[in-house]
Amino acid sequence: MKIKCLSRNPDDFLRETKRDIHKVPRNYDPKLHPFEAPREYVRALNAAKLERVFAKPFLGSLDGHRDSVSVIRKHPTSLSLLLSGAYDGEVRVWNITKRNCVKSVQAHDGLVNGVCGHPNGEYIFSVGADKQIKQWNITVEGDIQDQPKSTILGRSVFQDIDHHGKDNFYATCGAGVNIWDEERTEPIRYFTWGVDSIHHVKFNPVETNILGAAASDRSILLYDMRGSTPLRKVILKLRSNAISWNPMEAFIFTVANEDYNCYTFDMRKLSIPLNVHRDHVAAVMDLDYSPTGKEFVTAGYDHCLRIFKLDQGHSREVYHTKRMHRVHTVCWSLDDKYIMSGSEEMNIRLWKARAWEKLGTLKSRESTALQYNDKLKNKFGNHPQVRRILKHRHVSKMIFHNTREIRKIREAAKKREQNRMENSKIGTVQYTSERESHVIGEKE
Amino acid sequence: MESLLVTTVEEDDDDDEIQPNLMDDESSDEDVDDEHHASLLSSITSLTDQKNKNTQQRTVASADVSEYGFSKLYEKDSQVNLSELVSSLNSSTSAGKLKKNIKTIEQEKVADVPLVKPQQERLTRSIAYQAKTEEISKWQPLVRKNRKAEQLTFPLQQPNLSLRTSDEMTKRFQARTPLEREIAMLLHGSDYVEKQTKMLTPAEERALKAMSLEEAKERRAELNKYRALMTYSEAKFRRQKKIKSKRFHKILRKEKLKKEEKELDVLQKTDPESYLEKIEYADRARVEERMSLKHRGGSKFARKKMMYARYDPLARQAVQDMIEKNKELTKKHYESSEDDSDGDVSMDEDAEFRMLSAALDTKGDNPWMKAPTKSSDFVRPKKITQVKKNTEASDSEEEEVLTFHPDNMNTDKNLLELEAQRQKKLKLKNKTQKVEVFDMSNIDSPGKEQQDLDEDKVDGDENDELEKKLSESLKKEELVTPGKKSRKKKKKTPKIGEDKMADVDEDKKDVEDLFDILENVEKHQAKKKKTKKEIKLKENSKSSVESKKEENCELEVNDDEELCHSMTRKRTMEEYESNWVEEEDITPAKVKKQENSEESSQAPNIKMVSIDPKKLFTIGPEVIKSTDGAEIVTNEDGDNMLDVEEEQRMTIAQAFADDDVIEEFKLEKREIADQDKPKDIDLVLPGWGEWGGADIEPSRRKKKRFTIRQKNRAKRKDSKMANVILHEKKDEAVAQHQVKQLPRQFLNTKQFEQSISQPIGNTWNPEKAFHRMIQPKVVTQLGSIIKPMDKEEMFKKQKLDKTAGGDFNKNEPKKNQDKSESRKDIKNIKKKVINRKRK
Repeated sequence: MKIKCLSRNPDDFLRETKRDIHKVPRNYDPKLHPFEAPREYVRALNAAKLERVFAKPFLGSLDGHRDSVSVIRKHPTSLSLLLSGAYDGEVRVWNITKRNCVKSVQAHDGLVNGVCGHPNGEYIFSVGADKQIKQWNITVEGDIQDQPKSTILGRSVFQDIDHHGKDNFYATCGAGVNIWDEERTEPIRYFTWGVDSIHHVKFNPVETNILGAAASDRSILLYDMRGSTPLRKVILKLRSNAISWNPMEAFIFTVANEDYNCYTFDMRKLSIPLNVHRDHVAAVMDLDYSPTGKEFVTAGYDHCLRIFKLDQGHSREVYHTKRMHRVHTVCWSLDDKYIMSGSEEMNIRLWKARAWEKLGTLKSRESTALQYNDKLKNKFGNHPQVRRILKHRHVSKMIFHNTREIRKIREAAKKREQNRMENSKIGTVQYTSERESHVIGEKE
Repeated sequence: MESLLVTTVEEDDDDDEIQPNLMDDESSDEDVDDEHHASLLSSITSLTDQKNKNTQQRTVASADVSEYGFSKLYEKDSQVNLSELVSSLNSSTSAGKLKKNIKTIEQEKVADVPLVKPQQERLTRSIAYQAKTEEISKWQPLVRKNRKAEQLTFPLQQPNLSLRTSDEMTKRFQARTPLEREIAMLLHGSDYVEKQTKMLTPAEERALKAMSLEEAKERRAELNKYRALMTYSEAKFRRQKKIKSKRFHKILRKEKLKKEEKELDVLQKTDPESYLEKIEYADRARVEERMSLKHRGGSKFARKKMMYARYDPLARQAVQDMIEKNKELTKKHYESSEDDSDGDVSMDEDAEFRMLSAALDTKGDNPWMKAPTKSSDFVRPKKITQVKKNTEASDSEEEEVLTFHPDNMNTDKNLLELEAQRQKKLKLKNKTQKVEVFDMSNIDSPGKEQQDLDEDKVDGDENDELEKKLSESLKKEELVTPGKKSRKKKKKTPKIGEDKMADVDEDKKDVEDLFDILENVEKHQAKKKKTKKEIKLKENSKSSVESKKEENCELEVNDDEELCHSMTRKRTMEEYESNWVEEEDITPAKVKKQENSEESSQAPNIKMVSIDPKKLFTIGPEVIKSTDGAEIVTNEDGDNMLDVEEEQRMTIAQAFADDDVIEEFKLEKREIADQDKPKDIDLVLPGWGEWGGADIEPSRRKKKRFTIRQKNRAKRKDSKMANVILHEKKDEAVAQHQVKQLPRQFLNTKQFEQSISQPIGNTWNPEKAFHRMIQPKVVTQLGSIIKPMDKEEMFKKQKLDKTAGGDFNKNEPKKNQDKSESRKDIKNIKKKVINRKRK
């Protein structure tokens, strides 16, 4: 009996050598693939689940400080070095790859208020509560001498220090903002605007002569290093704790505010923030932009870090551990892969910038698969099931309850406002948008 | 004078400047009359008197006189203008210079009072801020571009990693090590190195120069001679090649052979070993030539066959046979090619292949696998092996010949003697029996047949015609050169009967004849029958043509049995199908025999497939219409396609013979339809208004009255679709997965749905498109520092672009500079303005 079977030409499906890729005959005619979308949906669901499975952001902690960490800063030229200052006046240099402390120096009496590095990476500066600015030599390995290269004694306490992006200038703040030339012991410029005590100052990394500062009179100030006067001042409802400039968009900066929010401003239009980022349930202490300028990370008084996208109002990620207390300071590594945070309980923690990302070299197939998964998550991110998985984060009890409470408060306020509008004469109660409501005024 | 005190600050300033002039005037006019002076005074006093009369008001002292000695507050009327003061001058003509001065003063504008410090600072700040915002707005286009970019690769400023060309490398190269230096010396300093600009090296040139004139001439003459000789011989060969006469070429060949023979003779005497070797070589050459010449398609016969092949299946078969035979004879053996593959890889491949083939084709039914893609593992068709055996047999025969030739010289000699004898006899007969001999040779001489083996197979009629023509032409030739022709004929008509007469002239045999004889001896027996048959055919040719054909057929079929399969791989199913068809066509006799058996084998096949026609999905004509036009054409053009489709359907039906999918599907559909149908509500109360009990049913009338009938809903949507179930209720399970709100980035639902229905994966997209689609928005490298945007770098690039394009933004930096200057000190600018105006 002769039975005819389905048969194929082996030429069509056999590869010629072992190193060839497998021949996979495909017909891309959409008529033959009626279930494309559902199949991709399932893949997206799986991708979302896998993302959550692999989301393990915490890499390790650097312990050694004997008091709360007040400030951490990136080394400008080395990815593996990290500078930190603590409340006991100690400055430490860390090697992140080895996860050890390279050097520790008792730099100041009282707390270290600020640390910064010279852009060529050859020396660092520190300011403390003892009214001193100290300059330290630092080697490529991160070793610093016990004695500072130079010390400047100021008239008042310096609250913060930041270095110019290119030239040999640095700025300190305290009572006003001082611009220093490295070669001189007196400031080359001194900015004041009324009676103010400024606690944070930051150079614009792109337009290197512009500075931003946060003052304790709830204002944000802008300066031009070359001018004789400040440029402008914005007063918010509560004081801003820190300011950070976008390294890729010269006119964009974000401030971390006491009112649990972050505000992104365009330097050219300060009357209204571009975006209000809110998710924290306590004051935001510090923030730092990713070097790509697409995201920034914030340190919260509510024991957690959050990562915000520049154009989104809510955070995409929240990092916390059981043992981490109030986070004072945070920075995003220069290769856009890691985040470092310094917190009250004396630890510096190392995190991944993208919690599920696989570090190290990827095979091409692996990276293709990951990219495809990313695209799928993006494509189906609006579907409730996928969204639910992607958005789910575990948070501490405190944050969970506070979030609920704050939401209730906000809703109540909103309702109250609405009622007021409805029950008063038309035109007497104006509607103010969320963005407007936080700014008191822009001062020339 | 009191009123003069009460003037504005500005006027004060003016006065400062005016005063000296006035003073000058007075000093110059020292001889002013007392009268003049008195009149001036009086006029002034009169003015003041008027004022006093008009403004009789009480004022607060502090308002008029401030603590600093002057008051800002004053009434309009209390002010005294300059024009009022000097109004009297209008009437007079003496103080012309003064008048002029006053005029110029009046035309001039005066700077404002400097602002208070806070206000001043605010102004400077706002100006500086505006300048800064303008400056920073330069980034706007770049930022926007980066935000919109499909993909951003960080760090933005990638280092230039272009490869250097070899030319650049050679230019840069410097010899450093001793070895390198030595080589460089050799390359650049030596006389024997060619240079790009010159044809000859210095050494060669020197050598050329060294040659004497005579020598050179001699050499040249020699060279010329050789060249001429070469061209002569070339021309000669070309001419010879063009000659179409076969005879000529034959003669040529013979001459050549004779020459060789003579040489051989000499060799035999001088060096018997090399002689033997040569003979052996000739044997082999002969064998090879036989093999290669026989079955080439270029022969007359083959061409003719090819012409007929389109119409005559037999002819086609013959051609194919011939080709196949040729192929088979010239084919390499597989064993040799097998060794080519090497090492591990091939082993793995084999393993892989075996596995796959095992999975796919457990019983070896796959026709693809029958084709010898892989030499070792494939089942070779039976006939190929047969062919092999045949060739082997023929090889052995030839071997026999070879062994027979050198070893048994005696027998060989015998044969040679026979041949020589025959020749002599023929010589004698030559003059008398020319025509007879020729005819004989034409009809039944085995030699002739052997010469034109191809012609043996020609059909009877054709054969006749050909022979006639040949004979005619040969006769003509004979008339021209009777002597030669006859000699030839003698050689080519060996007759075994005459063999016994022996002559001793062994040495004069030629090699070819020797071989002919050998073959003749062997083949004579085999050919006898054939020739007899042909003779018979010739006799009966006029009476029965058809019978001849049949017989020929048989003959060819017999040949056919030996060689049937080609070694070429078949790539499509059609090839196989066509081959089967051909086979069936070619061997009608066999087919007739086989038909019965095949029918008997197919019959149970058909019986095995028991298909319920109702349980088949019918593929309507619409389906075909919906596809391309080309397919419709194929459907129309033959039953073949339909047959294939039918067969496929049958096989599918066979595969799913047991599971009754269709019935199940129908059931399911019915169930769903029933579920969705609204049900009648039965409100009958048994025993109400009539007898009730265990076995008593309520009456039909009552039932009819108390059941609430549901209206028949519209027909289900899937009622006309045989193979589809449409769920008309919303499915909760699905709703869970559906998007409830339109996401922000989409304008309408249609857009969103389109974006979802467009797949990204490589299951549905070609590889390149897939990779393009999954490109990440941001690419960063692990371990590379991403520096903030560099102003200089970025704008340097932009400037370069712009210089290439238009002069956009050219003036901007200058403006900014101006502004930054202005920012520094606003007072300076003001002064400048004033100065400019004064000038």
